[in-house]
Amino acid sequence: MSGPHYNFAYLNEQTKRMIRRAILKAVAIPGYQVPFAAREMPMPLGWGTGGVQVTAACLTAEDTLKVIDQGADDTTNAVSIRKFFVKTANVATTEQTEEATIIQTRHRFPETPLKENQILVYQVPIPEPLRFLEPRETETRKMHALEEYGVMHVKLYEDISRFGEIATAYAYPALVNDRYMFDPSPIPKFDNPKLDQSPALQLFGAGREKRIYAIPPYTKVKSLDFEDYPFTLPTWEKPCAICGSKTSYLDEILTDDQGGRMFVCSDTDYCRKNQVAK
Amino acid sequence: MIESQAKALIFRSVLCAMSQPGRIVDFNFQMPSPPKGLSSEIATLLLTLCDFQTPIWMKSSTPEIDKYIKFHTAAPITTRKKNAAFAVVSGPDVDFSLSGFAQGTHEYPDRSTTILVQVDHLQDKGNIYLTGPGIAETQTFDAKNVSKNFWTDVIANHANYPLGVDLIFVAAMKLAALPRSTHVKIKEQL
Repeated sequence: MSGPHYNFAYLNEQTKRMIRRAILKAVAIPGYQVPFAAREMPMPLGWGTGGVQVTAACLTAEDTLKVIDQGADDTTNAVSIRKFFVKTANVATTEQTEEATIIQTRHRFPETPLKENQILVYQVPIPEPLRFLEPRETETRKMHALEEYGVMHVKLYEDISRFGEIATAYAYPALVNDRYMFDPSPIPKFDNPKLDQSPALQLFGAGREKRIYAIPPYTKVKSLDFEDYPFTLPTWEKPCAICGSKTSYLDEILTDDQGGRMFVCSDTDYCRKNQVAK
Repeated sequence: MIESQAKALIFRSVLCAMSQPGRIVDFNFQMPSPPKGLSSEIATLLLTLCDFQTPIWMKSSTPEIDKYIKFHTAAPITTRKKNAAFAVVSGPDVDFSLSGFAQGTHEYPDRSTTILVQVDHLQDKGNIYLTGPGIAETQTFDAKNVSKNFWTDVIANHANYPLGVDLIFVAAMKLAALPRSTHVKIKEQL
């Protein structure tokens, strides 16, 4: 099945056991970052080694895998990771969100609503939301232990005092299950509300930083904000130039060197389905 | 030894149970002849999740069971609850204290015991009401031959959140989990 040179889904069994135990603890303590012994993978750090290890530990021969990078199925990172699992696990793949049982994602939550028993695996560069405010791991660990998140509110407040609004547009910090503050990975803050009470299981893997965290289905995810400056979603002046969607997240595409540009859906599967429906 | 793909399916059943507390998950895997006193379900879980890094505490054991676990998993058997990564509880009545097990620390709440509990029967109807992460509204639940004291302990376990132990229940070909994040109420208290 998996070819003569690899164990099923590449990782050896002891590594999978270690990752699986970390995933179970992560699910039991939503939003808490569980340390794990991340392995070197046959791809550079920053290319999704954490997500790949989580996917490899979860993958069964019966799964259908979808991989997206910034919403797109056909970009380098997504294509390489999909090929990696076809080669090492002979797993079925799809580009359709509804058909997938496991979706590995870099920096987007699909536009199509997820269902129960789907697993969304995020690739995470920096799992610690407090890292840029407090560089010491010993300190941030203590801050999580004491639920001491005031410094993040100060950061958001400074945004407001300098720019008149909360300027954080991606990796927007949120509170999971009213306890742990977490970094939803560099997804646009547009996606944050989709994490709240999602029927799907969400797993986050950070390979370089060696952390796994999780949001079980139907779990409260509250983006941080203030009463007088509530959390807001970005809006676009025009709909998607290809499918006409007014509700999806749009990427800006430069079309020439004369300042020409267009805004199109970042989720390629959603955009294609919208075009067909027309 | 179970092959890699079977273990992946076993883990997914456990993950499914842990992420949807109180939901009864089919668990139909047969281990190669575990010794008397160790159910096939518990053996399956131990052989899938345990290795040399995970000390196991057994409530009741026999030299044959210890030998089987050591041979198949290389996991050390410990007599100290606090050192246990996994614990196995079986017996005619489930009545034991959760407090002696590793609860994790505030810096590392994940360093806590996962307890595998063998019961006679699991059902998603009953007097135990569950709410919390993984549950859309309320999940009803019950496990046979589990004492009332035990449920009081489970309620106290959640009160200590984010510290605490996580429970995995098994019955014949069934599995369910109660992570520490689940809020438990007994019907009389409603």
